[in-house]
Amino acid sequence: MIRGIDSPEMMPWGVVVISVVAALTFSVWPLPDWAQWLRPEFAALIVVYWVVAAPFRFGMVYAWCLGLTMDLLEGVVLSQNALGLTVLAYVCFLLHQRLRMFGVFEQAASVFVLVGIHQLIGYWVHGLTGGSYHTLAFLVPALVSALIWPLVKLSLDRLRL
Amino acid sequence: MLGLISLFLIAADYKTHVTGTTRVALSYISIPFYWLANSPSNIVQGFDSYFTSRETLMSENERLHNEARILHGKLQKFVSLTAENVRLRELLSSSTVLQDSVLIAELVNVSPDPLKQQIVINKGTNEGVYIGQPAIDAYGLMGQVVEVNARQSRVILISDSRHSIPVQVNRNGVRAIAEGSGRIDTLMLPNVVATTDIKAGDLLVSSGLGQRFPVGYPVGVVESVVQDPGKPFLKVIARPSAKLDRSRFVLLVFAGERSQ
Repeated sequence: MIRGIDSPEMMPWGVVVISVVAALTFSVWPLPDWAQWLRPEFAALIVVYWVVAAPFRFGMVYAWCLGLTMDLLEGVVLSQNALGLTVLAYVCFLLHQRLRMFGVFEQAASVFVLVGIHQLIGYWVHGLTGGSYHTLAFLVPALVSALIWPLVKLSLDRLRL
Repeated sequence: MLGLISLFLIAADYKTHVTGTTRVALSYISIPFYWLANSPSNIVQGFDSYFTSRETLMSENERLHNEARILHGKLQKFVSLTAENVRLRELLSSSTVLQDSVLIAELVNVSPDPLKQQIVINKGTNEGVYIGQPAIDAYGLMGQVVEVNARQSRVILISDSRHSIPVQVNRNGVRAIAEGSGRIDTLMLPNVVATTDIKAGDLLVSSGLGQRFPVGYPVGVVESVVQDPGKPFLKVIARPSAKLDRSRFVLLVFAGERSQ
């Protein structure tokens, strides 16, 4: 379960900023070549968390800005991540009441699907702009994100206290 | 609405150059994150060099001196060969390329997107880096600069699936194009006619056609040549000479002046 944040005064903006900076840093953390596909999509994870926790405070505009920063960090065509994260935020917004009630493992399963959608959109834009790499490997980060979700959720819950 | 803006931005960024300057301005955001992500390894390196023992340093110094001596020896021969080469080219009245000067840059980040083969290095327009500048390491050609701001630049590697480079076989001068495959250890040579004299172990060097890369830098070694009798072209796979996934230092080449 994720506790909802319903009043503006309760919004822990400090924690949001910390999580965003941490997610962006881990997104460019140097990894060996064989582990490139095993990097969780940290930006997508925190978007899921904050949209579900505070759907009326942290919405698609923030997700879009975060995605644009990711695009600049990764050096990909502008909006490749931004589009995915915006759609992700929208879907999370529609589902936030259901996601709040789920247990942590049900949430992890949903995270796999949600991050999978985000990955699919990113992969689609990549293909659209002339890239090629025809495997299903782009779903691996979604799986790893789902596995790491309990950890992300618990640490953010703790930080919010 | 945001989706529409995103789609518009994708189109604008991919098809036109209007976003170029904005991108450069915005790209400064990335500097602190790269720095933060690199700080642990920087600290470890700092400790390492601080606590290295005297003996290690002395032996390393000795080794480097020996290496320098050997390289100097080789260079002497190289100088006379270069001079001879220039003389012969003058006899043939063809143009020669003078010495290229280089700038050493350190790798700051590797693209976290596994679909992209790109690196970020710590030299920018302040040091005279320009878009399209070739980058090499000690073993061969690495790629070219695609994005540059005042302090950092982004280099696309020759193995990126959106990069290709004109090459020729060092043994007999057969020309081809080496395309990146998206995998860091593989280049592909499409459209090589089935009767072409090319075999595994051939060294591919940059041919200088296309006016982007200087002539004669090693690009890769042919790994396998497969001929499918039903197809008009060979399937040629090459391995990049440059250590694309190991090199920490990158040399940026400033093409030398051309003389007649």
